[in-house]
Amino acid sequence: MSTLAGRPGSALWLLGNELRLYWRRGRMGPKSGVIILGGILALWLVMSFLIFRAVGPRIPPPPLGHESLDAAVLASVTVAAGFIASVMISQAILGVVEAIYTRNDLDLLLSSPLSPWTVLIVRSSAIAVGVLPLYAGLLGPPVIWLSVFSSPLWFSALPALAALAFAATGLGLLIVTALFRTIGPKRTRIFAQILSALTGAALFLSVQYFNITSHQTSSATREQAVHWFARLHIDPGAIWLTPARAMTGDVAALLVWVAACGAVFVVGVFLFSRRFVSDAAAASTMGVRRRAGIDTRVARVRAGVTRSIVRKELRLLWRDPVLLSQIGLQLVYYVPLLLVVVQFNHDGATQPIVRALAPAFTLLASALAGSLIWITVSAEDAPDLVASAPIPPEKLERGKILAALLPVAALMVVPLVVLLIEAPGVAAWAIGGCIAAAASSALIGLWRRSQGSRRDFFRRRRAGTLVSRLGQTIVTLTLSATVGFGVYGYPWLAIIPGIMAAAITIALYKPRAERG
Amino acid sequence: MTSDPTLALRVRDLAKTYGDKRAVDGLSFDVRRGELYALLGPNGAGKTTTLRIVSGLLDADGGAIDVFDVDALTDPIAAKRMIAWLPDEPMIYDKLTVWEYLEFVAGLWGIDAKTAATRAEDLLKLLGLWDNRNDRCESFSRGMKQKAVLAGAMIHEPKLLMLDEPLTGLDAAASRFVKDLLRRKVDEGAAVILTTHILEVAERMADRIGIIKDGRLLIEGSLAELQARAGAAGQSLEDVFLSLIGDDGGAAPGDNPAIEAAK
Repeated sequence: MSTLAGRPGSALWLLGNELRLYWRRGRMGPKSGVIILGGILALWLVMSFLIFRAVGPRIPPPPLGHESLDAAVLASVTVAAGFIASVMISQAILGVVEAIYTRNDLDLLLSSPLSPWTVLIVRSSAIAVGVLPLYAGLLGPPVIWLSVFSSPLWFSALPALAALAFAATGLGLLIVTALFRTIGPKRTRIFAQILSALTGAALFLSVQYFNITSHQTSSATREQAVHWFARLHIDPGAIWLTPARAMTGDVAALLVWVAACGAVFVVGVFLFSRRFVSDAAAASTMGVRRRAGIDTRVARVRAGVTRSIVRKELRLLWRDPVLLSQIGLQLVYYVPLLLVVVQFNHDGATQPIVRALAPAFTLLASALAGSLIWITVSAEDAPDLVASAPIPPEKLERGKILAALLPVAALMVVPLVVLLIEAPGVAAWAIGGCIAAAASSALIGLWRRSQGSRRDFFRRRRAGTLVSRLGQTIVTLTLSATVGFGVYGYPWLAIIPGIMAAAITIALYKPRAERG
Repeated sequence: MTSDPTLALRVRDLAKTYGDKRAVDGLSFDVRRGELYALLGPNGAGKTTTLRIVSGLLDADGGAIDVFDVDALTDPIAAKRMIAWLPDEPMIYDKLTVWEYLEFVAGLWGIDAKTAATRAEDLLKLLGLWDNRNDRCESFSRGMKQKAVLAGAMIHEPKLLMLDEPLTGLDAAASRFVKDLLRRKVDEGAAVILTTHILEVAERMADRIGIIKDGRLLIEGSLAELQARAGAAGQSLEDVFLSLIGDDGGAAPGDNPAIEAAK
C-alpha cells in the first residue's frame, strides 16, 4: 500500500514521507502556486539557455586557481557563498526550532520502533533539502547551461551547494543545541529567531555599511578597484578558498568540501539527537506559567465592538514573542536606512541618498503592514466565536486591520515627522507611499486571507499562500518604484509602476464566498 | 412561518450540500423555550452542519430558520444576538486572561462595560474560575478552558444555547458541573440544543431527542415516545439508537423496518 520509495521503515522511506509533507505544507494549491512557480522556473531556464548559449563558449573551462584573475573570481564566489550560507544557516535555525517546538508527528515517529537517530537524521536532512530549492532554482539553470556550453566541470557548483545546505543545517543544529543548554527552552525560541535574522542579515548589513560609509570606494573606478584587490595578494590556492574552488570545478576541492560539510552535518545531528527528547519535552511545557499566589486585581472592563476587537488583537500581537522577533527581523534589514539618516544629519550634500528614504519607508511600511495584517486577519483561534457574534463581518475585518495598522503607524510616525521637518517634499512622497502600501496590504490581506489558528501559525507564516506573498511582494516593489520615480523628479514615469501596483492588487481580488 | 410563542427554534426543510453530498437534506424540527433538545446521529449525519447553519456560520442552500420568531436567514445579526454556539473544541485565545476573554466576548455582543463586569464576575465565581481571572488561558487544563468558553457563551445571556459535544474530554466533576449548568439555564427559560455521542447523557438530560441520519430527521420525541415508536419499550436509548441507525449498512430510512415502525 506504500507509495513511497524504499523499504517501509527505512531512512529512504522516511525521507520520502518528509519530502511529501514538505511539498504539501502550507496551502499552496496545485492550480495556483505550482503553476506560477513552474512558469517562473521555465522562463528562467529559457533565459539562462539564451544567455549561456551566447557567452558559455567564451568562458574558459575550470578549474580556477592558476592565474591572478582567478583569485578575484574565487574571492567573489566566496563572498556569494558566504551570503548564501548565512541565509541557509538562518533558515536552518528556524527549521530546527520548529522541529523542537512544533512537535507535530515527532511523538508518533519517536514512539515507533524506528531508531531516534534515523528519525532525526532524516528530519535534519529534510531541513537541509528544504533550504535548497530557492538556490537550486536560482543557480541551477545557469549552472546547467554553463556545463553544457563551457565545461561539465562547472556542474560541481550544484553538489557543492547541496553540501553547503547540509553544513548550514549542521551548524543550525549546533547553534540551537548550544542555546538550549545555555539559556533554556523559553529564551531559545525567541533568541534563535533573532539570531536567525541577524545571521541572515549579517553579510547584507556589512555590505551596506561598507557601501554607505566608504565614499571613496563607492566612487572608485573599475581600475582602482582592481588595483585595490591586487594589493590584497590573495593566493588562489589558499585553504579558505576551498569552497569557492569546489563550486568552480576543482574536483579534489569538491570532494574535500563535501566530506567536510557531511562531517559538520553528522556532528550536528549527533549532538542534537543526544538531548532531543528531553529538550523537546522541556519545550512542550514551557508555555505553562502558573502564578505562585492568587492575583486579586480586577481589571476595568471596557466596552465597544471595534475597540474590543482592536484591544484583543493588539494584546495577542504584543504577547507573541515569535512574531515580535520576526518583525524585529524585518526592521534589521532597514538599519542601513538609519545610517543614511545619520549621514544626512552631518552632511547636507547627501540629498540624493535622503530621497531614497521615501521609497525605503514605503517598502518598510508595506512589509510591516503586510505581515501584521496577514496575522490579524488570517490567524484566529476562535473563528466560530467571532463569526457567531452579532456583528457584520466587515466590521470585524475593519477592527482587525485597524489593529494591524496601529503598530505600523506608531513605528513610522517619528521618522516621517523628522523627514517632514528636514525634507518636506521627500516626506510627502514617503507619506503617500506609506498610505498606499497600508491600503494595498489591507486589501491583499483581506482578499487573500487563509484562516487558521494562531497556534499553528508559526509554521504557516513561513509557508503562507504563494500567490498572496508573491502579489504582496510585487505590489510592495512597484509602489516603492512609484515613490522612487516621483521623489527623484520623474512623476510621469511613476505612473507606470503605480498602475501596475493597482492592477496587481485588483487582480488579487477574491469574492467573499471564496476567501479562506 | 407562523408565529408560535412557545418555540425557541423552528427549522423547516433545511438543506445544505457539499459538492455531491447532501449534508442536510430537508431537515425540519422545533425546539421549545425551556427545553433541552438532544440532536443525535452517527458521524457525518449532519448534526454539526445543522447547528452551524443555525448559528450563522454556514449558509443554507434552502429552507427556513426562525429563532424566537426572528428569521435567521434574512436577519442573521438579530438572531445571533440571542444565540450562543459552543463547538466541540474549546476555541479560546491562549494569550488572553480569562477576564480579558470575557471582556472581548462581551464587547462582540455589545454588552455595556458595567453589565459585562458584573456578569463576568458572577460567571467566573459560579464556574470556579474567579481566582484564575488574571491567568492566561494557556495555563488552563481542558476542563478549565471548557468552563471559560462556557462563561463566554453565557455572558450575553443567550436565549438559545447550542453545544457540540460539550462534555468531550471533561473529567467527571467538570462534566457534572456543565450538565447542572445547562439544566439551570433550561429551568430559567432558555432553550438548549446539544449534540453528543454519549447517549446516556442525552437519555438523562434531554427533554426531547431528535435522531438524524444522512441529513434527515429519522425520529424525535421524549425517550418514552422514542421507545414506544421504535417498538423498543424498556430498552435504553442506545438500543433505540442502534436499532434505528446501527446495523443497516447505510440503508436509506425507508429500508429500515425500525424507522418504518417508528413512523
